[in-house]
Amino acid sequence: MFGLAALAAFACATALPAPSLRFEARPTLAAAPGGGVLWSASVPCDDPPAMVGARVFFALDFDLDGAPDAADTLGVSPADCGSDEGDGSRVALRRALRPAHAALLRALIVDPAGAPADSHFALTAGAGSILSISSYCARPKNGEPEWIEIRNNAAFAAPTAKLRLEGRAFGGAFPGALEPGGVITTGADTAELRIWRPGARLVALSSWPNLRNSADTLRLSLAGGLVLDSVIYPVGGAWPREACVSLESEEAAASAHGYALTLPSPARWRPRDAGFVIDVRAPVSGRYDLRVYDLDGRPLCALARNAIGPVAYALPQASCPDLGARRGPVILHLDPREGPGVRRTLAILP
Amino acid sequence: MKLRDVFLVPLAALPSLFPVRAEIPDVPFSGAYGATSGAGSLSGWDRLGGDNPATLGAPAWSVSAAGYAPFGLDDMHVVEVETARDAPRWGASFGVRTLSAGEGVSVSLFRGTLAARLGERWSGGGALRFGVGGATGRDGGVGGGLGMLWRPRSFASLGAAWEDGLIGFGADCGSDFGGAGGNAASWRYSIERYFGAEGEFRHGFGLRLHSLLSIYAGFAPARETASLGVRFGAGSWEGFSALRRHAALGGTPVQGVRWTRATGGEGGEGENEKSRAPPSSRR
Repeated sequence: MFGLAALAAFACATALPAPSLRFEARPTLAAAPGGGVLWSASVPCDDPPAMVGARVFFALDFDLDGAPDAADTLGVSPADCGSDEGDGSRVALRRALRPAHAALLRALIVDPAGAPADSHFALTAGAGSILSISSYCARPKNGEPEWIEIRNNAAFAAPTAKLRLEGRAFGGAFPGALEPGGVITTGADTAELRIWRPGARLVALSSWPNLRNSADTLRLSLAGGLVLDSVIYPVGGAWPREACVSLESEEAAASAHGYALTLPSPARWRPRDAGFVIDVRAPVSGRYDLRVYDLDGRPLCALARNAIGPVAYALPQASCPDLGARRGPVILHLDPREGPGVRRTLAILP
Repeated sequence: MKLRDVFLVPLAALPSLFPVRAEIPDVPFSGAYGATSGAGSLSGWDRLGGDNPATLGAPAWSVSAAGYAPFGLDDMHVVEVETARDAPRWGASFGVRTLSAGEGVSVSLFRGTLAARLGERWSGGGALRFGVGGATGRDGGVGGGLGMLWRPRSFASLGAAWEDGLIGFGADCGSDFGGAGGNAASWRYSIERYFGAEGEFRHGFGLRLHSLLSIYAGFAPARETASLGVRFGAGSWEGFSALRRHAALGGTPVQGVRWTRATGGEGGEGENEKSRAPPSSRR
């Protein structure tokens, strides 16, 4: 009898139409002209009367405590279904936001009665911009404990009660709060967490086999599922090849701030060939320069000055007209306004 | 056309006829220059590694080697080795600078110099260099250079050199203090100006505290680089260690070693001993 009731309930649930007030696809964030981020989404016009009085609320949470530190709102109207930005079947929504710091953005669409209908979470800056996995030791030498270090890159203390660290078979929660610039170093089980106090380093006391697997992904996330940072363990060879892998390199430090500079492999460019693309990963509101130097450190030109957000630069560039006339190695330097830079060497062939 | 133009025009055209295109760091690192961002090179502060082929040392055999990774980049290494023979009235040197930069890049530059004393206060010299490109296909090439050194007073010297499309003029001044002869401490300041496609100023400062220890510093604004280093040693051996710091690209630590064997003659052992000092007491 109970089984039949459950089956009937499941059938009814699956037969229900999708809620009319919802984000049709995953809303997106992009760099806004003049700074900040541009949030874009679309809402289907399945039931225009239900859209009357609906609104989207934006909450910016800088310290990840769940309470909004800045807010904004945007009205939704069925009249927009036929506007230039909609095609009659959906309303296109856009809002430029200017967070003062990297933040967790929550966009919540509510019906006219104020009831939440759908929501969207995102980071306004790159992964690792608030909390990052700054280093880890994946295979200890001589029985030393494995450990993972989490760093607070934000300007605010970040409560860690909702923080989760997930490997292939591990999930853990951290109590307390992490001060700006502070780190947590933790190990295998909650017994070790008990002796951790906010702001202090804790080195695990026992071996933790979870980090041994090549190509596993270690995720730092909030309880709601939003991934704040992730690390993929090195792949290849007779794993593990290294006792410990540190992310304290220049590249990792930049990555923790959301910046990366990627060149095709091998990094050799023949000026007469097209299709050599330099990828810059940057937070959507992150400003940076991309300069070219010779091996004596003389600045040759700038591929980008005061640029914002992720951009792909195809060589040759008009901003570096003489680069194609050079031969031999040059140095590319991605120089963010905040945080460490990244250097790459590029060989220019005849 | 004036008479001097008859000589200058062919000289100016020479580098374009024989370009050396081996793409390696062209600022010298060996000897004191790793610690002066290359300054003092035209004024003849060090026998080995400089840009002025007119530089002469005390009669001796000498060998210098230095290695560094530009800006600490893991995939890039430079090694310099140079040897010289100086006699009372002439000197010659031969050196190689090799860059390996990953991605199949391997480039070498060979350079030989021949210098002669032209009276008590003058010396002149010439250089011949050729580059060998590696897997980059970077052209090698052959180039030449000329240099002059003039020391009108004990406290000042002037140098000029031209090589591969770059012409440079340098001046330095300094004095001894706190002692006499080879045991005197001394200081020296050098300013150099290069003209050409990669023209720049270089500033250098040297402070010899003892015959065993000298401290150097340098600044090259066009390369956004400042540097600091020491030279130290005893007997025939001395080492040098320096750090060049680029404003954006980071630091370049340089280490090197030099061996010298005096051969007597004019200047003799005593003069050779002075060669560790900033060069006020050396030429």
